[in-house]
Amino acid sequence: MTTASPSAAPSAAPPARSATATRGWSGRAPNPMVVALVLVAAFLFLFPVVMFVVGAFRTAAPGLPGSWSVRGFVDAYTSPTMWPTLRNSVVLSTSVLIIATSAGLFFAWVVARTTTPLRRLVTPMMVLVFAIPPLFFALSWSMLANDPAGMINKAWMALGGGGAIINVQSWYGLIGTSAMKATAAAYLLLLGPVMAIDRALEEASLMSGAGRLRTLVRVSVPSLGPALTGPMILGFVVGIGMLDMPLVLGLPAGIRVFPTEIYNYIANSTPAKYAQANALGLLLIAIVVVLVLVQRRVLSGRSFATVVGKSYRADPADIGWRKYPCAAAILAFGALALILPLAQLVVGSLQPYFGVYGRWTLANYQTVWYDPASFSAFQRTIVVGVLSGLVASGFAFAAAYVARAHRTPLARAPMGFTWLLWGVPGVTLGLAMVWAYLSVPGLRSLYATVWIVAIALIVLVTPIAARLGEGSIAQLGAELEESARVAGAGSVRTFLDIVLRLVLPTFLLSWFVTGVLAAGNLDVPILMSSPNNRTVPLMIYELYSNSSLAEAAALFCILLGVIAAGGIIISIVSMAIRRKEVRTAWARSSSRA
Amino acid sequence: MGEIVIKGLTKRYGPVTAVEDLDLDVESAEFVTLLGPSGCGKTTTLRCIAGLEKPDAGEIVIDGRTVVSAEKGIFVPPEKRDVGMVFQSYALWPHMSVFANVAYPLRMRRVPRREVRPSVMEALGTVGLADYAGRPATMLSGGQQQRVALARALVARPRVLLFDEPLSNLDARLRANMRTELRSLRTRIQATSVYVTHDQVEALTLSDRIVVMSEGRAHQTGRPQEIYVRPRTRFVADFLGFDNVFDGRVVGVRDGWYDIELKIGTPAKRGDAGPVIAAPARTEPPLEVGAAVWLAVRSSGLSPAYPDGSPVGGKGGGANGRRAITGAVVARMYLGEDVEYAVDVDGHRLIVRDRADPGDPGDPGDPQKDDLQFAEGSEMRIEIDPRRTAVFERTSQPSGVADPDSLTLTR
Repeated sequence: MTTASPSAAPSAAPPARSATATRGWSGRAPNPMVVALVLVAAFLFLFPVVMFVVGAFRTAAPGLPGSWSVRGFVDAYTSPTMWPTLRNSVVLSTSVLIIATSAGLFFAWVVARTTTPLRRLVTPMMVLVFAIPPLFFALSWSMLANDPAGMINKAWMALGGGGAIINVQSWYGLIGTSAMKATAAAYLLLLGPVMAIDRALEEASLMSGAGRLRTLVRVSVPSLGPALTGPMILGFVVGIGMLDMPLVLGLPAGIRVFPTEIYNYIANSTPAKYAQANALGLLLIAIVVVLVLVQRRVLSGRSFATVVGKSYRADPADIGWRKYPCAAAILAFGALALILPLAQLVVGSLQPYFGVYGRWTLANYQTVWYDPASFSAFQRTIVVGVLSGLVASGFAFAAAYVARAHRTPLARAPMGFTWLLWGVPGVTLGLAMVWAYLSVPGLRSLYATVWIVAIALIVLVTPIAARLGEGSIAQLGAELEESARVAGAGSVRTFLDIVLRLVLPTFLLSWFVTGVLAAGNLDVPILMSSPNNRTVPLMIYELYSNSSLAEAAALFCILLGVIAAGGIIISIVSMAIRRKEVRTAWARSSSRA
Repeated sequence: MGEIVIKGLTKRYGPVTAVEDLDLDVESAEFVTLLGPSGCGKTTTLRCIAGLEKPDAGEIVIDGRTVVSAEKGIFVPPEKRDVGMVFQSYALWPHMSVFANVAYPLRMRRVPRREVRPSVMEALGTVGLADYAGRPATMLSGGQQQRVALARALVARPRVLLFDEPLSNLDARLRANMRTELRSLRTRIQATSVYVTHDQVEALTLSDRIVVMSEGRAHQTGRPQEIYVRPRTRFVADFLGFDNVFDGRVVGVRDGWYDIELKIGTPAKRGDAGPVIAAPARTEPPLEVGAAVWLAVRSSGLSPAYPDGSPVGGKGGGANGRRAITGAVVARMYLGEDVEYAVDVDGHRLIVRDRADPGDPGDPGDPQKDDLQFAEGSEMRIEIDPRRTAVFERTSQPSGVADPDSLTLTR
């Protein structure tokens, strides 16, 4: 039948045997690739955190000679603003946690379990809200509710209302916009578990005589138990760690939170008070790490009652007239989170000066286009986004694969490091990177370049890529690879032919999402800024600070356009891969007929 | 060609020993089944042969070539072992067509392109899927997917074929069909085969030889009939459906038979502790009078009779050569062809299986009338067929045997 007859095989065998014999029993010694990965992970993730801790006890700025001291802690924690700041941070985080988790759960339930009209729009909407930089919401809502130039107040006055109707530079605005952003994340985390709720649990409750609402409250939500801790902790972490929203919406109203205090210690003090900033940042990191550890403990101790092997795909229930309020809620969220802000940005970018209605102009775009600074900022941002997303996803998928393939504590370490930084606030991470890279002579030259920004953003987004990679690799049955090995493919060949091809769609998704998160991030670059490494979000924030709102809006519209273009490219590539697979499959079988 | 020699194979996962000091020779073109409950080490053994696991000790020689030896530090990776393997989950690559899946082993062996197509089509023809070559692998039913997996394992004509519970993901009817097909296939392709299953029917129908494994060790190796009729350990008997186990004592040895006195039931003679049953003397070493033993009997080896001794429909036959015990029917289950009774004898639960009486086919039947011979609560005399018994020396800890009290009517 073939040349691969048994008689041919022995002749091929001896070299193989000798090759493997010399490698000997290498399974016992750590694999060099594993060691390399662990070292890279330790350098990227562990080293900055260690330096950050060290920095809290130094009297001088990073890289400068100083002495050991606890002055930073004493100063920071005895400062008169400390307690109001702590209170504000807790109020903000708790509110975001409660609103985001309930809203996320509500939308997940509507999508998974009801026949509400428009429900198919929710997931794309949430993905958009998740991926769009937080600065977008901060900027556009501060414009929307501007008194008197914002669209909402203009409309209100046009209807005969006197004065401004809303003011987002307030607690309500800060909590509302932050919660909107966090709702998207909560929804995306909850959709799977809500879909996986065992219908039998609910049916049993209905049979016992409980009504639908009672079943929902008494059975469905409690059975989600452990799955709910994820979005709750995420909501808290987002609330306590984000800088851009409080910077734009909170500070003008006098609301100080930890990230803005850290930012002030560095950016608005001369000389910059690094030790104080680190001391505050350590508290943030400690809170986040404790929460993540608590969550992992909770998750490992309790099995997911809701995650069952089989998928129950009962038809979603018709909830009668109640579906119309639900549809209205979807519309309202879409309007508040996407349509109104986007409309305001577009309108604002076409105004000669923000608030001047009736005279439309492209002047802002021209200004941006012909400004070499913004042009190179775009170049940098694209490079940073593409590169950070690629490196973060590549690292995360490799780490996830190695962790599964080797199953040793050493091989699992890189994934563990990504958990360490899961949810560490961007502003503290930026600070940690400055400490880490300024303390090492060779790396110091990276400071003030775009590369340190890129590395910091890689570190920031890798945990997100890691979650995607973990899921995607875990879905890949080990037997798919084993069957390739038995079929005669070596380990490298198996990885290329099977693993890589199968995770490619998720990999592209991860690349895009983390790339967008990196490109749109303000918290990290804001502490590393220098004229030569500014990215677009930083420029937008500077324009905003200088009240050049129309120009900031134009810049943002271009950024969104670039992101959309990236999204289109990624979708086309994914589609081409899928089509090519089918086509080659057909070609292989039919061309030789 | 293709013989497999396994010597002293040991594999541990941390503190757990999956396979312990296993020796096994598989002759060329022989079909050997590793049979045992989950966790008995059968799959680990198979994976060691395939090269997907590295044993901690021992060696495996395929076709005269040492593919793994812990002592000599030899390890040939799976892709160099020239084996074909069928996985439990099919393990078809979802991004490839049926054709590409089956062609993969040939491509890896650098078979010239013009030879790939006829080989693949031949392999697909063997499993009856020649018309499906262009389909994506995921667009097939479970049974079809497993056939593709089989074609993929066969296509390169490997010296050794390995099967890891290939039928366990299929539903009962498909499993029966595939079993028949595998049976006819194995006579056509003369490859040395090692087949792993926990299903005794698969093992009995497919194998030249069966290795019954438990807790990492081989309990018994033999032809299917040998294993089925003459289990050598209590574990093997238990696993192969000897569902009644009596405590007893050897009271006589004569000419290939033991006389065994049971601890339950009514003694035949005054002064005896219990009824005395004849059973074939196959234990090694032979037992002396007075030895404590287990007497294992299949439920089909127990025949129900009316308390007066008259036989009951199904199996027929009298009380010839059988000794009886008496108990009360506590439950019964109609299985279509058979009826199964749970009978309480002095606090012990016995399972008795009899052919169901089909009744008079012409009789329209009274829906209220119960055709089953024994009602729950009625007294039953149970006769033991000595030829369907097996005797084991009683030890304190029967290894690998489930708690006898957990044996119920639902098996």
